[in-house]
Amino acid sequence: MVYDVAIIGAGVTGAMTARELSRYELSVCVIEKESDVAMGASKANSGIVHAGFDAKSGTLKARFNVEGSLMMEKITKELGVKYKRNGSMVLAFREEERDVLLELYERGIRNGVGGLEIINGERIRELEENVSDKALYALHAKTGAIVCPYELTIAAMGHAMDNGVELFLESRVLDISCDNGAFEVETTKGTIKARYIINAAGLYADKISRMVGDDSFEITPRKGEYLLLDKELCGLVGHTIFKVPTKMGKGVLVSPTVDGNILLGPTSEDIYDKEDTQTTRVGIEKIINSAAECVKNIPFGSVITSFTGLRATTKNGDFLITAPKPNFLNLAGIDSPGLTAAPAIAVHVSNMLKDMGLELVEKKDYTSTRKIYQVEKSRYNKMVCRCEKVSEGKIIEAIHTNPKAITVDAIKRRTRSGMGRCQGGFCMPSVVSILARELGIDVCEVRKSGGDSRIVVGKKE
Amino acid sequence: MELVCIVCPVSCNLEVVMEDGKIKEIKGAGCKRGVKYAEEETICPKRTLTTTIRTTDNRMVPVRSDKPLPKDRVFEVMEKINKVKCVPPVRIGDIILEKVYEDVNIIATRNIG
Amino acid sequence: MQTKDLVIIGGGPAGMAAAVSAYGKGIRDLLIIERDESLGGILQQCIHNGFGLHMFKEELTGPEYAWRYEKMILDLGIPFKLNSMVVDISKDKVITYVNEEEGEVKIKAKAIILAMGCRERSRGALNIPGTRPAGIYTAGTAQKFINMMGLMVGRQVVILGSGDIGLIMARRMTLEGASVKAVCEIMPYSSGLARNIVQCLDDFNIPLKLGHTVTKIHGKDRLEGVTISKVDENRRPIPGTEEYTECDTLLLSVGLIPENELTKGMGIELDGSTRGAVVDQNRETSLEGVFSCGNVLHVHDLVDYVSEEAYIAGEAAARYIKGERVKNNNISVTASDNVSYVVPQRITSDKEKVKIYFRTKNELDNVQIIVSDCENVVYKAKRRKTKPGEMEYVTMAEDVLNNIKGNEISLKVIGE
Repeated sequence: MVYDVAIIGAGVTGAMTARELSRYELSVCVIEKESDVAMGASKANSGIVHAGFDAKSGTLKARFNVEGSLMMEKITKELGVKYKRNGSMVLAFREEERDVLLELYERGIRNGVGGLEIINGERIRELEENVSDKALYALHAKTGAIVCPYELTIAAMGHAMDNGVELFLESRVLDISCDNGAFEVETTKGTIKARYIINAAGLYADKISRMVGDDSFEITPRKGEYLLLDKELCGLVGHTIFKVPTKMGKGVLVSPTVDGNILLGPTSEDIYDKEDTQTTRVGIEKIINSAAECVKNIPFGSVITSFTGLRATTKNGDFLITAPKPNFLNLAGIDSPGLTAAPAIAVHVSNMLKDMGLELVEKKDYTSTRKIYQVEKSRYNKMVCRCEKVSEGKIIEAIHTNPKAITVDAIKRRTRSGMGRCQGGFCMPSVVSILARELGIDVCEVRKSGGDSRIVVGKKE
Repeated sequence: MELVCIVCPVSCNLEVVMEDGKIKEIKGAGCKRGVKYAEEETICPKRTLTTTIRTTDNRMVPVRSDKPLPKDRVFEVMEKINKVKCVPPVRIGDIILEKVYEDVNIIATRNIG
Repeated sequence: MQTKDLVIIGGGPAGMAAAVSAYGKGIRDLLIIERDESLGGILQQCIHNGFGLHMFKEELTGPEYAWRYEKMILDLGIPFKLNSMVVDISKDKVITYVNEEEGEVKIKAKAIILAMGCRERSRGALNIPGTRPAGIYTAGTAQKFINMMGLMVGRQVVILGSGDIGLIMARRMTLEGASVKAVCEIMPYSSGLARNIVQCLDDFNIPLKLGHTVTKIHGKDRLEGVTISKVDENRRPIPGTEEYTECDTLLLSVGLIPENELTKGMGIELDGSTRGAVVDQNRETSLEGVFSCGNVLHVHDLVDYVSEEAYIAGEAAARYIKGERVKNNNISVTASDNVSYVVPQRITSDKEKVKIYFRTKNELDNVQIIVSDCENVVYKAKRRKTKPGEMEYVTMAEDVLNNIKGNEISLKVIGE
């Protein structure tokens, strides 16, 4: 068959676009090289719905940030994912930094951001008792919010699939050719034909674009390391706390997550290797030092995990949304505030496709809510993960609900089983057994994530 | 020769004084069992073996040797154990494998219904 | 709502012994709630021998030790719920648990014994740099895979941390055909028992690398290797000492943490050193009628001591329920020089002798243990040697307790 649209990349941009297109009478597929959706930057970022004062006025970033921020609450409600408007603060530690805050404030007004104010030290401490005594001023953005980035991506893709979108996992795109008005996308799992292609390949968007003869841009991975603190520290801060931004980004933040942990990070380092998601000693130390400047009394002994995300950055710093060839769209360089912008970019993409001649007819049988797999009620009372209180029912649900979890990590991202303070120490053996049973595979075939990431290597004779 | 006693968690530091290839004196033992251990460890070190055996319906039964085995026979006995499966039900103390080495038996250490 | 005189949270060695002892003191309206599918807790996967020398004067395996108590529970007819997870306990002692058959159930208890045990520290808590491949497990998780499920987690193994579970797993993996390349310990000494170093490492020529740690994880999908580095006296890796070791499995045996989430939820005072509740000699917490024992109170080296402590808690809970518990004193016990913690942290009666358990911070020889009140030394004892990995205790007799001046005593240790 020939799909109307093939989206390459199942990150938040790809997933949101798929969901947007699933409203119309179109055949859509998403091609993803990893074993799950949200495996790139969408899995490892700060989870912030930015208010929109950061991006330079007039850029795509500014436009889609503000639009996306306004859409986010409604979308999260529709998808049934957590969203919290916790507000954010940008801290100034020196008098001269107050000018930077003013600049941000004015830019925010220009970008159309509501709910901004500049507050003094006293007011800062009133709102956040643990913020450093050295913070003199802050830009307080009441519309700043938080979501869980992979929960949002999973839900968006699931909803798209419920409305007919097909997802091909572990299918790396090898080449793209054009034949008789349709593209042929050659993947590691076979060839997929489509009339339109949307390149949402994140770090590899440059590589995909080159496959159709466009070498006009390059993606540089910008490495960001994070530390996650135990839920017992919930309440350390309520707002997302930033320092005044530098050229390399918004710096290390201290923020609550929607799940009640405290997130510290990211570092910011341009690197060459697009697969280098290692955490480093230097990075971890940088986060600790930087976070401690903003917030007092952070008990770093309560770190439960560390991780690294790679942001896809372009040279000019703005989102790159182009059509280098007829019927081929690039959504590239979607780094921060990409998560916030994704819903707005998705709408923009559907408009672009329409302008390119794709007919958009609304589906009659479109379902506005996700289809959740029904599990026997009693299974929800059988606890598997004690730290996060996840039941067997929730795990079975994750294995059979779109997009279906096929690995231990995929279950973790959907249910939080193994994401708590013991990091899967207790529940992993049970999760492995449940996965094997529900997928009808041998326990030795159960994987942690993609590739040959098997959990157990054999059976005792 | 210096040894750490492994009879109990106190882990006494033992000293075995040898003369003409024979034990002359054992120092440092906190109890009689330590003396015996030092003698045995010098002449023929022995260990209790603990492992598991699969049941015919794919469950795991923990087992142990009912007496210590010579240390250098442990892998030999493991191989024998790994060749068998046992049929449930199993009661704690049941002999699963008889005389795996001289008079040493392998017994179940848990009930499997 | 259902009511019970006594509810015991956890059916491991602590919970079972506490139940048996409360029953022995006349409590009949009691219930054990266990989250796993059998009683016995972690003992069920500890198939090695070495348990019970104090309690039963013979050497048992974990499952055998558990069975001794399970049999007592069955013979006495003490009721228990399996596969049941306690999700909340309120300050007024209403316990909420869930299981498949009953759904959510609430029980109001007169007294509660907390016996939830502990969990292992994970990789995240260590911040080891590198990738996040499959093949990194805590020693206990690997133990469950192998001993309970018959599944091999790997073939070429490095173990980080020389705690007892790590040592036991080094032997276990070797017996099952894996090659254990090294056990790395960041400290200059092992926290495991000397007998385990002998029979789990030395017997199989497995090197114990003291003063070494894993500084990097390699491999994308499955672990491919680790970098091991020497550390300085401040436990910082020394640049230039890195050595790459190929392996498909890294086991972590880097400490146990009492699992006190329920305890915290009840607002019970916790001790930052033990990470368990602050208790008196009865193992009663800051919340009246709530007791704590076993590894949820502080991490023990030997299950025998867990049982012993559980007897204390069980008997005290029985006295509390029957209105016979005496509190006529309030002396706080604090850890001083070279002592990392003491249990109990309070003494609330001078009617009975009290054993004070403690751990030292360092390995010391020719040790003097000194207990002082605000004026004088009230008690002295000697030990040939103390190690952080081995719990010590002193017994304070009634006459010593009676002569304490003020309301605080401190325990210190002097050694070489």
